[in-house]
Amino acid sequence: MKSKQNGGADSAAQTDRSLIDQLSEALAADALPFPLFPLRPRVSGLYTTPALVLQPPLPHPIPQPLPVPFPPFPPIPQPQPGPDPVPFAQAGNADALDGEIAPIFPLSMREELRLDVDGNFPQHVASGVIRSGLAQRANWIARVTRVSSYRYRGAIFYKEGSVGLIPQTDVEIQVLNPLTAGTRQARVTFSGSGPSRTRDFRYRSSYFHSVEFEFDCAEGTEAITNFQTHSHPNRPAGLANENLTINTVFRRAGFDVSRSGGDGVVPISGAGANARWSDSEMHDAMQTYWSRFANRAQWSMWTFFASLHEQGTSLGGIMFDDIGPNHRQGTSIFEDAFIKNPPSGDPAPAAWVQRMRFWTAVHEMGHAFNLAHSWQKSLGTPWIPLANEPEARSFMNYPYGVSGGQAAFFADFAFRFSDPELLFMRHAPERFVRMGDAAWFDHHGFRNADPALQPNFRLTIRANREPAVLEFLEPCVVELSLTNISDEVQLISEDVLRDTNNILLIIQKDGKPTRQYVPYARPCFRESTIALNPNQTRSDSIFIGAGVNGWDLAEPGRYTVRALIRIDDEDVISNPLVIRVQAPAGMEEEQFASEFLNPEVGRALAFDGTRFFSHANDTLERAVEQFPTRRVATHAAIALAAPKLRTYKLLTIGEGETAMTSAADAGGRIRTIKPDVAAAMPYVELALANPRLAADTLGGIDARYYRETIGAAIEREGDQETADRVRGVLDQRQVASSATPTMEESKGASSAVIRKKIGVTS
Amino acid sequence: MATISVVLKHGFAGENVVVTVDGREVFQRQVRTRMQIDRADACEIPVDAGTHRVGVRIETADGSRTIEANAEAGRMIVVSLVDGVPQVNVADENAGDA
Repeated sequence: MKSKQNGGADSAAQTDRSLIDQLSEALAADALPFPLFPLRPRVSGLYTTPALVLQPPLPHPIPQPLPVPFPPFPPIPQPQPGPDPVPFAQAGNADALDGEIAPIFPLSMREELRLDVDGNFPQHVASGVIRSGLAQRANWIARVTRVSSYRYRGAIFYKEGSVGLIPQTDVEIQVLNPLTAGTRQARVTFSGSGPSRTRDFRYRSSYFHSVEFEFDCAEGTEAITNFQTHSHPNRPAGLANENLTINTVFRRAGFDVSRSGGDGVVPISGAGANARWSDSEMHDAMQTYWSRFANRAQWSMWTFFASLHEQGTSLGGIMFDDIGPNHRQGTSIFEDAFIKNPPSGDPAPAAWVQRMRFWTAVHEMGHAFNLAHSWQKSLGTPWIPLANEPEARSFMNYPYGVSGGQAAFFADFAFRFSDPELLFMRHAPERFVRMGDAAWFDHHGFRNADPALQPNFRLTIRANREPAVLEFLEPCVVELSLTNISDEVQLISEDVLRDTNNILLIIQKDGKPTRQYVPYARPCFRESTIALNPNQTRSDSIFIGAGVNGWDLAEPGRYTVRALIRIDDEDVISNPLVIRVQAPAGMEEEQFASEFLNPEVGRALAFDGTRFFSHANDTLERAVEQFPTRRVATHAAIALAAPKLRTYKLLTIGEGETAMTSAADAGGRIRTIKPDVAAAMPYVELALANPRLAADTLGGIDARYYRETIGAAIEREGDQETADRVRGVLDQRQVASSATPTMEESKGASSAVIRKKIGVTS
Repeated sequence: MATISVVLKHGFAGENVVVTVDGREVFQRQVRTRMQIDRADACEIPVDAGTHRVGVRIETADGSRTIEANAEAGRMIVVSLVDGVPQVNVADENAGDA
């Protein structure tokens, strides 16, 4: 059981901050009880606009905005020269550059401004985020210089996302009412290309982002979260004497740090019999003991203090969380590793050890912000042109890796991150930095694949139509085909294409980090092996519209999807499938998206309907009523029809129970709902009456599956004529248009059992 | 009992690595460098006091390469692949990874 040792973490976090920090924050917030002058209040921090309604609904179709010419990126000045600086990832504007009609129904435009011109380690940068409607977002960064009192000007050197939202090339920022935080504003004028635009922002915080930490300890281990900076004599001459905390380090990096209040103790039994921790054991502990654990991106992280990693004393700490779809949520520090051994003859060995443990903790937490080691900046996917900094006095450098070793490092170490690191943490697109968002270090989903030199299989991924262009809100179904390309019979699992435990699906939107599709449920099949003859193909479909990760293919733009299946020791990698998601057809559809793209609707579609999520059913009904000619209506109709055609068992529990108890004790009962063919038929007609549309959007395999299973369900209710009509509705016209090999072709199975979807009973 | 640590660092991309101490195989695994700790894998081998012969064999589809070093108990053998060529250093045990 987790021990709640630190229920007062928030108050503790307040009291451990240095006087300098408290003073500077109070200064920024005008919270001092004495006159400020001649001190100059700092104005750096976060500013936001209220949502701005730009224009009334526009007629459809909307003319496409012209692509915006984009100036080349100048290099960012680097404090340390380094080899091979990586050029900017010209992620660009997938929406505007790929010929797609951009979603330009700017119901509202919300903006953020991060002004970074004073305070701790100023980067002399302004950055911003522009959000328009549901689908468009642009990030920009400008280097600025002070041109007069509280007035800053500079050129935008970085744009990312829907850059059509910001055609301008320069910004000028005037801080209004700088002396009082409560009324402080920033007036930003964008100019230089396209029409000038001016917006007013209200001051929100002296920090750029908020972040939350939780510190847990393995049983018998102490969390090292502070260091008395003058406790060791080897230090910079000008280093302030203070009790420096981890919270303060990150506050100075620009983050409004809070604590979850869930700090506690993890039983050592979690480390297994050897009492050392493996990555998977720590990941399990994180899921169990971190009070904020969730399968989603959030500005929150878990830091775990333990004795040793299973690799032994040579590993001082690790950001272990490159597991699953949400990386960088957890880090660990191993206090009995090499970091507890001071150099022989050190004048203050206890302080040396405390400093190394403190450095290690911040270092690992820095990885959770997606910071690479100082000497690895140019590797991986470039998020911003960081050069290697092998001599940097940064938390992200190894003290014993610089010239002169750890003594030289600490003699000049100011307990901070480097300027390029601060630029990244404060101003890079949020998803590159936020925990659980962009994958650790790079965005290449198949970096760890192990394809065979002489493969036995070919894996093909395809949509059921060419080109694969999805309408806005249309759930995505892909079809996988596995072909034996060897000269010999290959034995494979019968469920090789259904077993999502063994299928890795990677989705990458242009210019965005790679995401892994994670289904809502994982099946458990009885192992059954079949033979796949040379040149024989086996096919099946996968719904990837929504999963635990959310709606990965919802935003308009261009996506690349790849699949990987492991068969014995061979990784079989598919072709890349390019899918384009169109812009909303109108404002009504764009508005409806906020209602439709939610987890309950996602689950209803993935499981072919629900009787439980009544709100999801209401939303699906609206999809059918409002957009009957759009492809989303086909999927919604299937999800509404299927539960009505089977005997549905629903667990109901009385209201008012709060304590955890059994369903029986809570008054739960299983209610059986009988099939209602009449209620289902309007939806069946809508989904299947147009065979080409049904096969186009459901896929050839799924269209046949629904025809069979729905027909069988109607037949069970005694309506043979209707059953025959449903079964036959696709027979003559549509199926032939699908190039996908049928499962009958591949295994000669009975057509009565074409495919079993998870959650569907027949 | 004293140990010798063997740390496999940069440049590994799925190679099979076999570690021997005085001719005895003590470690065998396919390894890949993880950027967040700048290492692929590590092992600690209990040894008697004195100097020992440590061999590291790196096997790829193109063949295998072996590199050897003498190390005293308590020391760390650090192996990296630089442009496919194995390099070895005998390091102070303080120089670990994080």
